[in-house]
Amino acid sequence: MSDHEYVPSSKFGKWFNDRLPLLTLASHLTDYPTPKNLNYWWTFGGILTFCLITQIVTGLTLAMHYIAHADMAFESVEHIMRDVNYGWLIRYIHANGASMFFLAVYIHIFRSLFYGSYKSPREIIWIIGIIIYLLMMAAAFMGYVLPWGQMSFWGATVITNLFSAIPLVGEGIVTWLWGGYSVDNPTLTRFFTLHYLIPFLILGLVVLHIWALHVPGNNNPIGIDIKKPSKDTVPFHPYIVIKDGFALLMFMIVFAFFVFYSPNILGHADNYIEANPMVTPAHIVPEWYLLPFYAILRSVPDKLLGVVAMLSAILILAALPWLDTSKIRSAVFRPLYKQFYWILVADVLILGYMGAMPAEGLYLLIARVATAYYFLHFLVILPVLGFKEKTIPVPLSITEPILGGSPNLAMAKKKESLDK
Amino acid sequence: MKNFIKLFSILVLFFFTITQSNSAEKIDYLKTDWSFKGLFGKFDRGSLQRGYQVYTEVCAACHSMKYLSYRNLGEKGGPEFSEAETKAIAASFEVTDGPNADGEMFERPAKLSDKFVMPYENVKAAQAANGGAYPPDMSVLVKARGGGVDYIYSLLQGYEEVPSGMTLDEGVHYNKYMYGNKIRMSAPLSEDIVEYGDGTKATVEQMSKDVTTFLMWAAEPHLEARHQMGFKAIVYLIILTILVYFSMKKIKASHIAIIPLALILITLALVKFFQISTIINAFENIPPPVAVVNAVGVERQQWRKSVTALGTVRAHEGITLVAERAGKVKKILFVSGKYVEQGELLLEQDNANEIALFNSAKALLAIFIRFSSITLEDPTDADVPRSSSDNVF
Repeated sequence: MSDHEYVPSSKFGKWFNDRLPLLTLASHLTDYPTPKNLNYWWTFGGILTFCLITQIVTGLTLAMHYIAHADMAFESVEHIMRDVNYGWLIRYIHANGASMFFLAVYIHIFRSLFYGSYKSPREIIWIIGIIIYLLMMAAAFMGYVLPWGQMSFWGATVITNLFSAIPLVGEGIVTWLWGGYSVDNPTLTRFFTLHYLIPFLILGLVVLHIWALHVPGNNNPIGIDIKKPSKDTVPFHPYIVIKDGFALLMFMIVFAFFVFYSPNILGHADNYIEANPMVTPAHIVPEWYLLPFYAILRSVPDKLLGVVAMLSAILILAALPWLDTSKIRSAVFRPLYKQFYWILVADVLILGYMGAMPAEGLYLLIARVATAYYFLHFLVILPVLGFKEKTIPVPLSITEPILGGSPNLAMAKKKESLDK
Repeated sequence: MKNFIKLFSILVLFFFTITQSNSAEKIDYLKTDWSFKGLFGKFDRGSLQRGYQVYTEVCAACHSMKYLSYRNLGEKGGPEFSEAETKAIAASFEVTDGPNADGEMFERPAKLSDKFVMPYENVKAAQAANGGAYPPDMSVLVKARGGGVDYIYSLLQGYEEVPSGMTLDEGVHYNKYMYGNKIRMSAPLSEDIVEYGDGTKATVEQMSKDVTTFLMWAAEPHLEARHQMGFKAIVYLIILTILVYFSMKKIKASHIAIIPLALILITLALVKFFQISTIINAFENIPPPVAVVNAVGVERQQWRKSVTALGTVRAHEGITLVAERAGKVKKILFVSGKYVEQGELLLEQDNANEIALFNSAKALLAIFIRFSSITLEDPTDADVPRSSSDNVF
């Protein structure tokens, strides 16, 4: 936020701005002081906004041709793929766009974890982010049901059946969710409606997410509070805009490779078989981005406890600002946390792999160990680490490591190469 | 940039794990060169046409392809049969259409717009004819199987003798590549089961390759367009990325954003300009549509003086005659085409009912007269029942 009040230069601009301060908002967004040492992991916020808008635009177009009916959904998707002009392109962008969205959101979340972006004063940004993440999972799951293939049908059956684990009212809730006694047409139509609604809820939350971000300003790789505006900041436009744009283009190249050259690699082949309630697929597997949580669900032998474990694995993230007791934000200055961080990354990847494997034998054992470690990380390691860890001294400002005596040579070197 | 390489390698690693886990149960399928793989992958036209022949002569006996239409066979990027060939292919199938004006269904030769004719009416009929197993629809079959084209290609050649120690039920066959090695379908291909028009030797391997190529096209009819557009899109993105990279460096050096941004915009505008001008050129250079002119030689012919024709004559004015009272017609006193005069009787209506009513009223009157003559001596009152009997009429 700039110190001086923005005054539009034209008379009309002033008249308009007095009534609706859109120009003030635009000026705030362009001048928004941003730490000058942000690295490329910080570009994923912009990339995620792009993903959301891509999903909404392609989704609207698909909805014009899609028919939400159990007898016609599969056929209408084939109609889109064959007869609608560029229907194949729009559908493949939408389907792979979901995967890209999750890829970006996972990078975004793990960036937060590494640089401690969830810590005070940014707890609300973080919690809004977790809600967005939950809504994204809901939207993605319901979207996967819409083509009405085998995985759509059986995935929907498995996931909605999780609610039956709730004691006493579980069965009633499942019937209520289905709109009948099995996954059928009423389920499909309500999923379509909700799939249409959720992206707009996400859009609203994204606005809040950015608003909440603009109050304290961006965190940065060394995780210190900075004065704004100062020598440590640059205006958002053009510096961050062009950098975000550059990263977005790189991301779009990867995206394009998936859309044009292997559009079906991230999906399951069974979803090209029309839904058949009489035939259950050999393995029911969710989309890759839900696999870690699926592994957690299956590694608990009791159904109710499994659901509780899966939900708490996500909700535990919301409590993260209070579970992490360390005052230092960035892992750059926390040598022990840094190691545990990478173990957690490996742990989540292992869980994802186990989610795709059949739950038996060695796979199940590894999944159980990985699940236990996941909770151990958040519930034990993080709170204890804050008290026990010996941290590296933190610089006073972003420019200090270069101008003054550097506490961390590697850091200084990195800064130099960045400023070049 | 160092960060960048890190980011990129993580991306690559990440997707490597995903694709690995997705195709965890790896089986060594038979390999062949697919012309449609790779950045510029295109279908082999000849292979597609032969593949269609294998499909229609062998597979189509049991397997439907319900999402394809005959017109697809002539479309760009497909087997590209000529229009005449496509029409002839369509016309060789009978479809049920209707209902016609009489409300009845009828058979007619298929048109380009018709969907591929299905071998069975429905799934149940297909199962009944195949010992309970449903021959899957082939429209998206390649995409619906984990191994894709390699799986189909291998499966067609994977029939072997049953290994010792394994017993199969009646009507079940052994296939090396089938899940569980048991398959209901008997080996569909054998040497020279079809006769290729282009002289290609119809070996099992060749036919497997051709029909699999055809199935790939059936599942992904826009594959060629996708590859072409993909290459253009990615080249475009790479150029744009490089431009943005240099302008980013420029911004950092000179703090002026407008020049490099303008540069990008100008480049984009130029690219677009060239694209649009090529399109305009292409339109201008389209040869004018060929006008067909029929020339007929002049010759002498006989002029006919009279013409025989069938016609309908209709009266200029019509009058509708209506009887004053509704009732049953007893007699018609005219014939069609007869001239009639004013006042002439045309119809006689049945008046039995009216006569009966008249008689009953007369009887009632008689009773009234007798009754009134007993009770009332005043002769003037004798008129009252008479008038009430008029009311009955």
